[in-house]
Amino acid sequence: MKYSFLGKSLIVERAGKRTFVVGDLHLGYDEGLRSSGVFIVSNLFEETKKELTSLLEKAGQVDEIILLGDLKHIFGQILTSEWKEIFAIIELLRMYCSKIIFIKGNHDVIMEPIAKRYGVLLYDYYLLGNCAFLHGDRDFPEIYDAKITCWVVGHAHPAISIQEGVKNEKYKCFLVVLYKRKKVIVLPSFFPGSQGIDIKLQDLGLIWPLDVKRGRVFVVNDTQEVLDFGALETILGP
Amino acid sequence: MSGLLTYAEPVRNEDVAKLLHPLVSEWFFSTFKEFSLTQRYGVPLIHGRKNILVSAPTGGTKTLTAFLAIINYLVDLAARKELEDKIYAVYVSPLRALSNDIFVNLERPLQEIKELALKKGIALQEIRVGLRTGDTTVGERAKMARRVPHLFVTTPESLAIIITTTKFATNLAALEFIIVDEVHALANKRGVHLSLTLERLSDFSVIEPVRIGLSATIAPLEEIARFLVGSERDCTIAHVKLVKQVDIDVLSPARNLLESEAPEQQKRLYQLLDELIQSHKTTLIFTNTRNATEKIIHYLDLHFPGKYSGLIGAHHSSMSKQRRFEIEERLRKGELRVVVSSTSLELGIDIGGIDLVILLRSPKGVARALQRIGRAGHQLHAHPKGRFIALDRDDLVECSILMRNMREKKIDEVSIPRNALDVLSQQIFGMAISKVWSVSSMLRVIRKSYCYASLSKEDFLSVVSYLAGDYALEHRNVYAKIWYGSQKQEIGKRGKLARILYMTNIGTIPEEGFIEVVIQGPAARKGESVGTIDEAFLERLHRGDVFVLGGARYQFTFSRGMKAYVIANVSRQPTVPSWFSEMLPLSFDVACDIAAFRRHVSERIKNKKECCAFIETYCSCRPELAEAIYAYMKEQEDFSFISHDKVIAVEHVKSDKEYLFFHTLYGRRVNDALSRAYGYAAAQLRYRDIELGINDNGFFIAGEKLDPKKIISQVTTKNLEELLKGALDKTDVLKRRFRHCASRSLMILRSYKGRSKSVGKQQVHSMFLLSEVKKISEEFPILREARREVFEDLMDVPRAISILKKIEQKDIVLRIVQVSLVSPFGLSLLTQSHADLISIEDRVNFLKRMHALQLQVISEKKVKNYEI
Repeated sequence: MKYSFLGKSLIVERAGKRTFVVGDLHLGYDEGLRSSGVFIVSNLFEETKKELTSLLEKAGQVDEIILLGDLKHIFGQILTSEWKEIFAIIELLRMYCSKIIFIKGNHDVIMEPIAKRYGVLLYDYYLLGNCAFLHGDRDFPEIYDAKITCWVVGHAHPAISIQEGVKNEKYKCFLVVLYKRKKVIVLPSFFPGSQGIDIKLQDLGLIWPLDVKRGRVFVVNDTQEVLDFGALETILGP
Repeated sequence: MSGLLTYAEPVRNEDVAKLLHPLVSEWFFSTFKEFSLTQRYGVPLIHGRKNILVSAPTGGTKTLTAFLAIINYLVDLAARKELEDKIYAVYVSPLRALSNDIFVNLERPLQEIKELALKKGIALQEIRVGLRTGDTTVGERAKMARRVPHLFVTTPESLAIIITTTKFATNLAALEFIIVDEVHALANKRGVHLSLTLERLSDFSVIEPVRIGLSATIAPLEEIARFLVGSERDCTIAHVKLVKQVDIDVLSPARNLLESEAPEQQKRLYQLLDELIQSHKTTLIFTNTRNATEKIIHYLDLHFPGKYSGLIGAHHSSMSKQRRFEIEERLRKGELRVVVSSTSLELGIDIGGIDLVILLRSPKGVARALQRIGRAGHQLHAHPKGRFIALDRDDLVECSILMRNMREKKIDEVSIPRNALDVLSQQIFGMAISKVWSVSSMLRVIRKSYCYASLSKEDFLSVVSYLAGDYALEHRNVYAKIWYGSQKQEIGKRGKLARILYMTNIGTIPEEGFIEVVIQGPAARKGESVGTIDEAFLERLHRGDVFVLGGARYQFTFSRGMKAYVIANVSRQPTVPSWFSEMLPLSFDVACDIAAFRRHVSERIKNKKECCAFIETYCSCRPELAEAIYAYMKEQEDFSFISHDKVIAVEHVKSDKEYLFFHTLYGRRVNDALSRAYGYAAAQLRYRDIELGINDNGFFIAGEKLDPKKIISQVTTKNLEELLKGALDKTDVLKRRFRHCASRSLMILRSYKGRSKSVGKQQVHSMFLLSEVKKISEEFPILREARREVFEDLMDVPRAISILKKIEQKDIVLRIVQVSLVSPFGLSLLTQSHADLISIEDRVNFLKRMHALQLQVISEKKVKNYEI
């Protein structure tokens, strides 16, 4: 199996089949802001769509698309705009590929009706060859199977602050780390509203105690270029 | 057309007396021997229904002056049974804790007059007083609505609320007097907000109410008068110059002021405080910041265990209403020996017999120093006594010059924000709730306020358009707060929630929260909470900074929401003084006086004896402090030279990076402008980020490589504003300001659908908010307001230009000196300054450059579509 980074997405190739994977989308964020009294026009949804389109164009032919969970931002309920946004995203993905898989995340409590209505596959985890795709907030015995060598997860929103003097900029990043002899690939969130949590400082919040310091960091530049920064412990700055 | 400003003269005692109704007169002379000077100025003019600004030192019986003429009028009506069910006078004060003052100056006089009338068998109608603040309960409000008070006491915010309430608006329809107390505390956005409320009030009142402003010593008086009455009305200024003797001195805990954070120094500070407290009955200590307030109390107890328990109290704005009331009450009863306050006790509530005021660190301006010290001997004729305690050497010089200016009565000038679009948004929203307006009549009412006299129609319409949700395009309905019919040119209310939304989100004071400090490492103490710091203090911290909290040192790592994460058990020296906070900027005038003082000292520096004697006389300070000032100046002279008002030192230091220290003694507002202009010029030259440090005495810029001559030549009177515009969008300061402006303009609601929004939640979004609003338009009115606030309120661009002009005309010389180490003047700049960063290098290029550096570390190739 071959794994390659494309902007914030991951492409997995196996026996000529190509799988396009993206992390947490957090749709409905715009309405979430409004309902908490922040009346600033934000259009993160448009940005999300634009970026997805651009990456899918670059990716070329894909056989399946996996969304790694946390499609929705708001817990527990489905806001009207979320229906609309989720539907629009499914429409968009359909233009590129007919097989769409949703992995359930902790924000996605009531996704079944949506999945049913739009003919989307909904799983807690998904196995493909020797790779397991899951959200990262829950553990499953099946992923420990000896033939599984790689886990692809979301949930953590990894980002890294790059520092020089007092200049300090945060970027989204992939983190690749070994755990129980499995390679764990943590995807950055796809959500454009914030970079994520700083892996130099904060806990990833995944269900497994990963040795983050030994992990290898791939930083996503704003131009979609992905830069290898090596092991986290070698990256400068406090 | 602008109104006429005139100055009042006091009348004779008997001329005031003959204006009074016999009952009022009898009551007055049963309580007081004669009219105060303030009353002899004010009472006849108010009686004659003239708009008036009364400026008198604290304790000048101002409040009663205003009430006396009005009580007199009401008693006269009450005796003739002509008192109507309406509000005759509104008294508005920025203080929240009003009740005692009102009791003394209003309720007690009315009660005593009533009893007097009863004794004499004169039938009086009842004169009712109503109090409405943010703390007034629903029950009390309902009662007031049933029985209309004749005198209505309130705060600026509550006043803005009640004028949109139909019932109250009716009661106010024939208002005759508006009293604005503590005008000196309103030269800010809160005052701007009030100025529009007053115009709204005048607009719907069938008669034009008389405006009465009461202020402590303030300058310029004529601008304050305009602010009070608006640009078109006449106003009389009563400048009451009470000859009050003030007993002031400056003290310092030690001669060596280099290490004010050192334990030995700290110990002496508390010993000094203890001595002062013990030799007086009741002492009031002002500390400038809330953190310092808590700190003083904590350490006094630590150094003198048990001695002050039950005898000491804190008083600051983030304490609950009950706690503050309690402290005020105990002060009046004389139960407390000492009260420590940040700024909250500055304003005029009567707090009893304070006989000493201690100012810990410079209060940054003469007016503020006078106001604070005036809290001692609040009663007329008592001599206020104040002691400045200087904690470092710049502080010592500053306090000494402040004292000199106080003696010479040189009052620093305030400036009032003009055309603030965020406050305007809030008020247009309120106006639209009251009724349907034509665009032209609404603009006419707004322009009557001095703060909006020059508001352009374009700016006005851009705010209307924002409130009408125009910028939200297809989501217009979601964002619209008002209804705007562009065909008929009318503005009105929109939505059922409008009124409640207005009432629960009104106000202009940004909420400042306390940040909880949580240990992140070492692991054994992880998660432990060690105390709180101010939000403003947090903004000063950069990753890796070491600061002191509760006596221990912590290294700051990052903050999230309302928590700051730190590493405990650090041995490094603090990099940020714990005294530091968002302090008031030093006034330009005092700063210039310090610069002139430095020149006098530098001319005499060769002769120690002569120089010390000069300092001693010039500042009227103790010989040992004159010597400390001399030592500081001498050290600087030996190192490079003393920068003063004619020659400004620009010190160039090369270490891990290069620094340029500009010793421009013009106060922070001017330095805020100059630093960003020079910083931006330097950033542009090499397309690299530049660090800034700014304080009242100068600023520094730091970067990889700096060419002082080239940088200095880039900044001129002609391009200053252009440079600042460029710089502003690249700094942090705009982001911080924008959040407050967004909140004032009701873009971010503190309270919405029954939920209150925490400061923390607002903070998380501030970066995001700014970037989103820039996507809408660079000219979005609230974004422009944030820029205006930085340019006009935070910075002083006109004065910065005047300084540059002097440099161009060679009246002021910038002299570059190469120094191997940071000079003594530079050191205080380095450790005690507001930091900012001009980030000119964009994210994409920065990451690429850092990646190239990282590649050297890991010696691997740059990867595209990396294969794992």
